[in-house]
Amino acid sequence: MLHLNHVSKTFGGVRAVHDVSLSMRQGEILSLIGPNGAGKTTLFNMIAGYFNPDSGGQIIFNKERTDKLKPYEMCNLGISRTFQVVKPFGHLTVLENVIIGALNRTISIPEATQNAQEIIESLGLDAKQQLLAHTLSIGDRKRLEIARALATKPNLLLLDEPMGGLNPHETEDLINIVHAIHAQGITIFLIEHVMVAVMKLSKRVIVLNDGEIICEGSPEEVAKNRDVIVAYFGEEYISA
Amino acid sequence: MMKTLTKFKPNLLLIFFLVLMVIPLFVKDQYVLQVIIMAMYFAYLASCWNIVGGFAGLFSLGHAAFIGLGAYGSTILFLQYNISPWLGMFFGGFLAVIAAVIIGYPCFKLRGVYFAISTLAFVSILQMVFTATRNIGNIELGAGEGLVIPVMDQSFWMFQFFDKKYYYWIILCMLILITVVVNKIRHTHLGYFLLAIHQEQDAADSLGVNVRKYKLLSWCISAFFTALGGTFYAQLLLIVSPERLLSVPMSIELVIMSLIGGIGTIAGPILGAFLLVPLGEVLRAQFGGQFAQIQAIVYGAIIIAVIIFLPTGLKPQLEKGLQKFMSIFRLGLKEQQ
Repeated sequence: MLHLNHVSKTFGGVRAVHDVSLSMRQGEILSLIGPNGAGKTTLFNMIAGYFNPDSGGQIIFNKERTDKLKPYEMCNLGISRTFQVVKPFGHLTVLENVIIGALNRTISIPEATQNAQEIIESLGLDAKQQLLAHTLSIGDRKRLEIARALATKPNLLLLDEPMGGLNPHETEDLINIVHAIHAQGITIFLIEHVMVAVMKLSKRVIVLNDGEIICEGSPEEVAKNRDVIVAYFGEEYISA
Repeated sequence: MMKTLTKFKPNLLLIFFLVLMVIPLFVKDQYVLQVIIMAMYFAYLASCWNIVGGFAGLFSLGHAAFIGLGAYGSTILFLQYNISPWLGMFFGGFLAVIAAVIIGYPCFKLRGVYFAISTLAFVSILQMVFTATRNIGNIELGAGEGLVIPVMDQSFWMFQFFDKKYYYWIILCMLILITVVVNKIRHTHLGYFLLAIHQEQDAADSLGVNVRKYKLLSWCISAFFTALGGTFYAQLLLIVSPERLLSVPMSIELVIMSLIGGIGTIAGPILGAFLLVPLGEVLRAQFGGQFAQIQAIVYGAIIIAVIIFLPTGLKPQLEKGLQKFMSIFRLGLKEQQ
């Protein structure tokens, strides 16, 4: 479904992503982990169209070359995303936020409203649909972000640290929501630091460090990998 | 009857327009009509600005450019080719749209203050060009003196009337038209997209909104209708000049009226105009001459007070007050039932 071939991105003298190649199958949940500054969000931003890869890199989605496309074009093709720092339309209601996502697939306001209400209900936000988005708690904002992305009817959903800032109870709820989204047939590419979520959601994990892939495998394999442990904890941890 | 009253939600804007419609039937004082005409005129222009400034978050300080292009466009066609201003206003609108595309396309890469400054530069440059240019080929621009429209016999087709009430009803129709347009935009997908772009442009982009396209669309719609206002102004005053029309203060007044009335709302710019225009007239009448600048001081004080105490503008606060009043009213009616 998604193929990245030798994708790199450099900002001035800073090499954010270097020669990354990976593939995703339809219907899987793939997690991308790595220490802060590893290049995970930069990679997401390239897939979603915010940055173009440096020359030589290719991104192919459903057999179509997409590395030169803009974010709204990527969304029209079926890739939707959430942001690491949530970006709700704060002075609009929860319902209006999701309607905007739904309007990607129809210009009819009544139809978009109905689609939005169904998604809001499935994510447990129906009691709050008339509240202004800026009044929501962080947990509800994360749900709203996902609801908005789902309203665009994506084939591939990029979730950038959806569990960030949530308490254990909220994390468990969101894990169940991601499972439910996946059960609808949506492929999910997940960046996460919360390992509980990674372990429970993914069958395959890719680890990025300093812009390069250092490991790929099942969550259990990755957790035991020496390079991954060094990347997170340092060489001294291994020596100790 | 009681049940109907408890559910009654007054459409105040509609009532306001109906009242405006009948005023000339009772008020014959030409000065009073002139003040209301100017209030409606600025309400119209502020509503045009609100499409981009209030909905899309494009804080333009250069909308006077579109007023000027509209006025000059229709006036040149009238003076040199005897074309009715009713047709000429569409030519002026077309000129404004061309200018909007030329200025908008590069400037949409800028955000916030930088975009505002670029529009300020645009209108300032346009004013300098028109002031310095007497003619372009056969087209007379009049340089700094501008163009004077000769007084003719009263004629609807030539857009000239002796009685102010005709100008009154024309600008009222234009105000109603722009209110319908703004309301339509707000409640269609265009309105939703513009509000999304205003609040979180990157998020809007990620949800499939072609940000540049919708910014340009709203910018061109706003420019077109603003230019129609320029034609009205030219025909009302029978003179077009760079100083009067392509002026930065004129642009800023539209912004202030929208801010004070309630930016991003449908009635806000109208409320702002109907507060500030009559207030300006009263201040000029009371303090003109010795204290001629007091109007500017009072304007400034009002702006500061609104920004501090009513940052969302007057309209949302009045709406809250009205809702409270209506809920008390309905409670009283229910108790009587």
